[in-house]
Amino acid sequence: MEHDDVLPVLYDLVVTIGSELSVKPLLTRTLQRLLYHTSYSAGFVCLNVPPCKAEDGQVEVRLDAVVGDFDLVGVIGKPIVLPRALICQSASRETEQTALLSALRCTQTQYKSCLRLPINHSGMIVLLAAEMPETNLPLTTMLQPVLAHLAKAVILCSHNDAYTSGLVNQRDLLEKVFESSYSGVMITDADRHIVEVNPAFTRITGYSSEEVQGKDPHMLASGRHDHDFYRELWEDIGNNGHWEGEIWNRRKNGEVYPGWLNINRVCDSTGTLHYYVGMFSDISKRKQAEAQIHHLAFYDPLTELPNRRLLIERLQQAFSFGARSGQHGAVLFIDLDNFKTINDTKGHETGDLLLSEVARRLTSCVRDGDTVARLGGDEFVVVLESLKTGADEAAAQADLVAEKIRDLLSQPYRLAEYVYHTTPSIGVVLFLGHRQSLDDVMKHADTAMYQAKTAGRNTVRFYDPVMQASIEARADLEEELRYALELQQLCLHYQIQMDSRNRPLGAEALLRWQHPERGLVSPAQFIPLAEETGLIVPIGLWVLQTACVLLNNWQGDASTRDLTLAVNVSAKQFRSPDFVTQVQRTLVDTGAKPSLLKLELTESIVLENVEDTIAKMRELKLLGVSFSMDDFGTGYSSLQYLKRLPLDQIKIDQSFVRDIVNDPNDAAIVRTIIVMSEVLGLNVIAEGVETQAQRDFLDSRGCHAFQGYLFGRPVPLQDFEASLKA
Amino acid sequence: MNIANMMHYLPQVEAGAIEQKLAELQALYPGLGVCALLPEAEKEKVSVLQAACAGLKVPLVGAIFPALVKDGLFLTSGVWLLCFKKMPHYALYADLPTDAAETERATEKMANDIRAQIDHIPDLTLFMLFDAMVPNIASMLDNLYLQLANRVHYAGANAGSESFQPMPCLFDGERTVQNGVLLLLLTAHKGAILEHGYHSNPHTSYATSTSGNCISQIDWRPAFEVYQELVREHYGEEVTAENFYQYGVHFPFGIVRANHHVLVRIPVMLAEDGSLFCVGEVPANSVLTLLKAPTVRTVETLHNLTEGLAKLNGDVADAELLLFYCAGRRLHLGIPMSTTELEAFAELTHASQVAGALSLGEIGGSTVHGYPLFHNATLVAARW
Repeated sequence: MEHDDVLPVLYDLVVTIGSELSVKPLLTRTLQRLLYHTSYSAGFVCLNVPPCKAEDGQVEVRLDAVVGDFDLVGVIGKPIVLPRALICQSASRETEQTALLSALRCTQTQYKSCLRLPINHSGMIVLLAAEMPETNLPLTTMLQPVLAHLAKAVILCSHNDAYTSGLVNQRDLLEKVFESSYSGVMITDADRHIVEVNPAFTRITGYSSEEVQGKDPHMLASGRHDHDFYRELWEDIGNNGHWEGEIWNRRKNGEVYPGWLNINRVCDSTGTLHYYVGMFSDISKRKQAEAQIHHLAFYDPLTELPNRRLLIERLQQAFSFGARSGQHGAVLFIDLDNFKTINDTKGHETGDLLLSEVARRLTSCVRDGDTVARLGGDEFVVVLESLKTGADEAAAQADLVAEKIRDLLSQPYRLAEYVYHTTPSIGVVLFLGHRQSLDDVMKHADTAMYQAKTAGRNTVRFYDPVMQASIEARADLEEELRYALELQQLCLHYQIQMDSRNRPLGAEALLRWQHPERGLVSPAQFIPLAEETGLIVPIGLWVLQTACVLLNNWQGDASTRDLTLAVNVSAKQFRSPDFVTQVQRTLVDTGAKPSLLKLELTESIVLENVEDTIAKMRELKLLGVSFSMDDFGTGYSSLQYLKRLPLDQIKIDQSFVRDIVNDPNDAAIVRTIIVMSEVLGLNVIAEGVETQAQRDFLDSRGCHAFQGYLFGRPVPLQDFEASLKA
Repeated sequence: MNIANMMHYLPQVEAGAIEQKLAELQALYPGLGVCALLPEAEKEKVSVLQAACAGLKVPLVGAIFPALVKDGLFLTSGVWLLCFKKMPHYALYADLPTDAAETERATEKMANDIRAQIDHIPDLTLFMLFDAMVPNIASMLDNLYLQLANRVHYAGANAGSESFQPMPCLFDGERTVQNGVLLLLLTAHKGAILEHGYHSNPHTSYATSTSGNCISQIDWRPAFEVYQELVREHYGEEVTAENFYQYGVHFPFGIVRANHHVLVRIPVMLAEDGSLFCVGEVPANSVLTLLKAPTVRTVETLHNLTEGLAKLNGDVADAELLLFYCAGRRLHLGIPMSTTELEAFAELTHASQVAGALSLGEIGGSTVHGYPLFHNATLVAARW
């Protein structure tokens, strides 16, 4: 080998040494390159060789790197006892060392030659060969600067290993915390794409790490929070670097759960944002526990009904609601008659069963928003909200419910194979806002209940004597209304409908009650009663039949042949399953021309069940019957449903017509209704037209059909027919 | 039948002939296995081999080389059936990784697979056939040596196309793969001997910038520029990407070693940016010498080979020998000279048969129990 060729060898070794950062690969790679260049087949490195004072004997060392010998590879890192003559000598290239090298106990190759290269004073490289490779180069001296370089590299790499090991330990610790944390951890990049999640995240959300990586955390959103919630959340993080709070998220299986979330920004030392770290826990169980505690605190364990504490809370809410809405509420104080006897004779278990059944029956009597509470023993309280604004009407509503309760609680109880009977005594008190204190309301209800007991039990009593009288009067009226139809006390009056050229278009049939003693009872008084009691259904059918008979009769006279007759249909009547059949049968039975029958519906009927309404209207339209939307403008007046309904006419409510000339708002509403009708291709008629000015206004705006006192009041049939001929 | 009849050359790759030969052998050796060597011109016949072996349930492995070696000849047709009385452990790995960490993991897995086979069996050779397009063969070899050390002997060669176009060139009974390696663990085998006889001339140039198997600078100048000057000076021709390999073989790189041996790297391809690619990587950042038209000492090569074979195996007269001959060496020396080397090898060894292939890189040690190295320009010889 030329001397020029030495430099590439040294260069290669120096570059190899300089390329490594860690002791183990440094030693292995250097050893590999040394073998590569020298053709020795194996070698090992020992660092930290103890000082050798003598040249003979043995020393315990550790093999830090081995290349090329399968047996020695197996003892890397383990202590091994070697002859000092092998490990402590200075640099040398020796042959015929079989005896010395046999101390290595290598079985694959019988080494005879070695090349010893000391690293500083405490390390040694030993290259091994079965036959000494040829070379004419002074390897030991030639490699000296490389070994000095290696000695320094070992120190630097050791320091780096210690530093890296510290970092690795720290990383391992953090990783362990990350992996074992019971809280879910989610790390996103600055663009809010998920970078990493921990096992707890997967446990809580159901999503694996692979499923969420690169995704936006919004994929977990439950839909329970609006846009503003998230906007404020990110604003908080932007401003304070942190957000903490309760959030509802959705698991992979679709389940929505509450979590307590903590989000922090992670920035580098220059303030550049790199990550967001979100830590959260599933607080479903905590919420459930809270709900359980709440339940125990506010509910009666036997009946699951609200207890006194919750009752008070609900009553306060009802007071506040009443104060805002102007609607009455009512408290019904219920006590079971003779409960003590059942309890004493049949035992507490039977008593408890009875109370549970009473609670169930009570709950079935009220609307969703009302409250049924148990005060204790056999005392229950029902709070009714959103009753009418008028005291009499509200009292009537409360009475209706109280009677329903009285009736239901008086039904026999089948408990543990025995049948029991009990009845309630019910005290009722109305309230409106905060006019009376809560204590007073409860006290008065209690008092009324005792009055009911005194009155012979199984009774409803109002606290206010006037109200009690009113309720009793109403009960009488209801009783009489039941017989009004068969006693032929009901009749129809007819109010004419005219066009703009003062030609009669038809009439609206209006129900009247001619009471033998009370005289003409106001429709406002008895029609709501008929609605509440369900009497409106037979009465409505009678109205329909009467109107159809009249339409048929009018066919014989030229002056009445083309007149239409509008008939009001109540909600209960319209909703009855056989309403369409009833109309069809009535038309057939009476021979009335369907095209002249106009059914008037209110918005409330339509909105109650739009799909059912449309279906029924379509069926009736096929018969030829037409429809008018009564009182239009007072409800939602939604164009959306109006477009879907097979209507023929819209009737502008009289409340808009009344001030149409003076009130610009009413004028604007009416104009809008007329334009809407035109757009939808519907006729329009105004009711409650009382003055010429109103008529002219309506006519000039496009409404050419009218009904009102200007043209005629509702009158009995004879008067109506007479007026046509006049 | 004695051991001398385990290597069979068939001039036609024809199902009937293959089946007949294998059936004859199978009758004697029920555990028969085959390593087949095919020349590139017969590459479409792999399926014929696979079908024939499948029909007889004979395990098959093999590779495709630019040409076959048969005694003193280079052949571009036919097939070598190198048979085993009992098929040794083998594994075919496809699509090897190039990333350092993944390469380490992949070779560790290979080493573990081998380690599971080697308990208490002396004299094993890990025989490796790589696809020449694998760019990190030397690293894989280093990693394998770290794991298996001197527990096995190392030998092998690179398969593929002499045009250096990617080609599935390794196969077993069912698959034909590329970018892979075929490992065979030969039992009762003492390894191979490798020699090239290339000598560096004085006043060599240095390759000053290398990375993987890519050399970008020579004497601190763009590598291709230097090559153009050299070719102009020696041959009066202009070197291009098309004719590069023909000239590159005459100016290989050498990794100089302290034992007077040079590790040859023949550049085989020219990159668009003027860098040169070798078969097999060069150590990162290493300084290589540029061997300008190196002299090849054929006598020394053959002497070392025969001596090495004798040291490994004793007398090899009448033995069947395996020989891989580097395709780049054949281009450098020319076909007549290469053929003479082959003839001389067969004569000197007194082998009953010499079977092998023209290879695109070779694996072995030039001394007994030596560090296994990845070479170019060599002859690798072993007893079959």
